[in-house]
Amino acid sequence: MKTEKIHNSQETYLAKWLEGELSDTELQKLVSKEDFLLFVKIKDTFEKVEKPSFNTTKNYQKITDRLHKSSPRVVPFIPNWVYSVAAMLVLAFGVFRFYKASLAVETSYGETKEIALNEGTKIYLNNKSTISYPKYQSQRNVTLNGEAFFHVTKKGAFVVSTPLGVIQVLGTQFNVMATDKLFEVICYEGKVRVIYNDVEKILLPSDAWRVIEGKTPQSWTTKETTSGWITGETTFRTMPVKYVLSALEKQYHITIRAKAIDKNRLFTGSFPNDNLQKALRSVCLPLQIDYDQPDTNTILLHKK
Amino acid sequence: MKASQDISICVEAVFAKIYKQYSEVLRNFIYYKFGDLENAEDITQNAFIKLWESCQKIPVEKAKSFLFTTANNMTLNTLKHQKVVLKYASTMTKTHTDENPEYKLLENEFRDKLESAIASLSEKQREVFLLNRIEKMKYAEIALLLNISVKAVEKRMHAALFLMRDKIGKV
Repeated sequence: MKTEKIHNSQETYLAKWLEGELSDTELQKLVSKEDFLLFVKIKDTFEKVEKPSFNTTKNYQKITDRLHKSSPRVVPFIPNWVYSVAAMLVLAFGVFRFYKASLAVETSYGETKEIALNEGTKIYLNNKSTISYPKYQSQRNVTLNGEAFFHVTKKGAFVVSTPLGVIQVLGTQFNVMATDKLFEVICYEGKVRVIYNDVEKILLPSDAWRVIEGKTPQSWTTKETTSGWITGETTFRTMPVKYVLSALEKQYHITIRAKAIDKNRLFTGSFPNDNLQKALRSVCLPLQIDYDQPDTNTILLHKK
Repeated sequence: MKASQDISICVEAVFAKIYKQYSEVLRNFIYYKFGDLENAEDITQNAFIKLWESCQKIPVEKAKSFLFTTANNMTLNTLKHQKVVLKYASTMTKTHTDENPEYKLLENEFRDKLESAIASLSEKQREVFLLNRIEKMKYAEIALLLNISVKAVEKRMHAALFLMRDKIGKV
């Protein structure tokens, strides 16, 4: 039996049946046996159909090349001919001045810098770090490589871009340690949003979060009210020793050679930022290692 | 702190996240609706480029509807519908062929008819039907995506299956 005219357009029982809200027996009461078998066959065939393949990573790579060519734009308020006239004027007078759109601040070994943005935000930059920010601070968007402590005023969104992830905040205080391998954010006040790959994490005061070398992110809470290095001490919590040694190098401008030492052992503790000998002892004693200083800039570590 | 308003699509990590979340379903949506996989892929990429270029004007929560509307509009002008070629799980067809060589022939014949039947559906029916059957999206999810009611999705599903029966049954 073939149903004459298709169906009443208000009917949805086939939809219900496909989703399992209507049983086979119930459907058999509504349609002919022949139709029922065909519906079942169509349904079964689709069970074997696969989605067309899609490679998100590859496609995203393709798109990023094009993204950088077409950077975000605002709708121009100035008509295009103005640019032509301006360009002609520039050519006519030979004025070739290069306007930098952003400013960058860099710190050397053992150096810290304090940056005050016009809108009141304060940034403390730790040793061997770079930060850049727009010259005209209508956009509150900075780029960090290294470590910095932020005291952000409540004037809309503030974004910190780092090699591994992005942090977004309103008014708050937080510390960021960001290199190619290490990404750590500790929130001291307010609320911080961290974006790392697919992960989005909201940090409340005392919340700390980090990811080391792409491993599973770790979360913990801190009892400190500000970052140690602000007050002259570099602190660590279960940090692989190699990063502790690298922090010593950045603070004291030394080269540390450690051969038979397990650099992935975890270190919890701190070292002072103003006394190399004390600093070395603070790190070496708990790890039970000895150190020599053949010249002012070199430290040799070895097992006891 | 208002959550999503603080995030800007202009931040590349945010943009990447949106890409990961929607690029595949957008590509498939365009494919199911108009056929032509390659074109669907290009249109998807172009829609994302448009999103990037307009990132300052579009809040994150509007990104999805912007993408689907943009991709849809791009397609409306350029594409004539082509057949959606169904891709079958290889393992399943194999077991059948090994057991019975004649079965394959019948199966292929049926699949051809099925593909023609899908092609004869209206765009609205086809997108809904394939999003549900292949993309395994729930009616409620499809309703949300297309901005129509769940009831409308169910009506389209029902009509689609009925029309396919007519089309296959006739031959």
